[in-house]
Amino acid sequence: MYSRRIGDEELTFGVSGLLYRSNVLMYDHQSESLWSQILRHAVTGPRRGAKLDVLPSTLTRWDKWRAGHPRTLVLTTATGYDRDYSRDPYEDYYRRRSGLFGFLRAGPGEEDKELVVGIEKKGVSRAYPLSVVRQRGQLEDSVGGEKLSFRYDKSDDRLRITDSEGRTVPHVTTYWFVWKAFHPQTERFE
Amino acid sequence: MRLLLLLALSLWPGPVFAAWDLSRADIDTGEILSGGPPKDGIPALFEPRFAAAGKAAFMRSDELVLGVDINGIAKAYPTRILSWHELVNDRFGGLPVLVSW
Repeated sequence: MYSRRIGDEELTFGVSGLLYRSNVLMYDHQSESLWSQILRHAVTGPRRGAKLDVLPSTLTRWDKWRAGHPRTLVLTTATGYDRDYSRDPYEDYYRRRSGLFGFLRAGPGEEDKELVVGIEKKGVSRAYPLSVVRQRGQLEDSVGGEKLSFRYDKSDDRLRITDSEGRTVPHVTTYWFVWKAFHPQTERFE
Repeated sequence: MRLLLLLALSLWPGPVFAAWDLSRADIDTGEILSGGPPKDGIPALFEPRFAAAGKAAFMRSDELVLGVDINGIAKAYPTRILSWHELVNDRFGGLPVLVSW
């Protein structure tokens, strides 16, 4: 989830059809620059180098989200497209144990499809298994010399990470093998 | 977050790369692959429509959603819809946002 305000412009984005390290490249209609979601910037075109601001989002079950946000709206299937929304086209993929691309294999004792919370601070990358974060509830750690505080709220399955001044720290929740592909030097919190 | 694996399974050569100027890329273009469908083959959403939680009979209680809460506005995006579109161009009050999957 990102802001579409880049500098003082408001951009709209589409799907390029290209993949970089098995992750989608998107493009903006205004300049046709390609953007990497995981690198969080434009990688080609007139906007090359422009950054994407990450906004907080939570992957959770509908009943949990609704309990924590009684007034929530929900995206409907009235999209203007004729698709079989009763099924997720990636369902089989979620069930597969390992990724398709050979260079993204997990190491011994690691699970490719494990969900991790990834943080990058001052050149240091660290991944936190989501299961560990959920289990502990609270967690203090230091990344790139910066003190971070994790607060996981079980009631709405929401994670907040703040720095020592209380500012929200951007993070991504993704598969371990995806995080590792983009951050080969990543450390792993155990 | 979104992985185009399904589409990658059907990797086909085509004029996919011709649509893009990769000459000044700041990444190794050898690592850019065609996902299968052409540009906009997976249609992003631009005018998403929403229902109130109480009127969302189409939702199963245990299904996965991407939940967003900004400026006092909460929205849930079912992943079974996101998977068909990958991107939703949306707005939270005055803030233009991009939901990506």
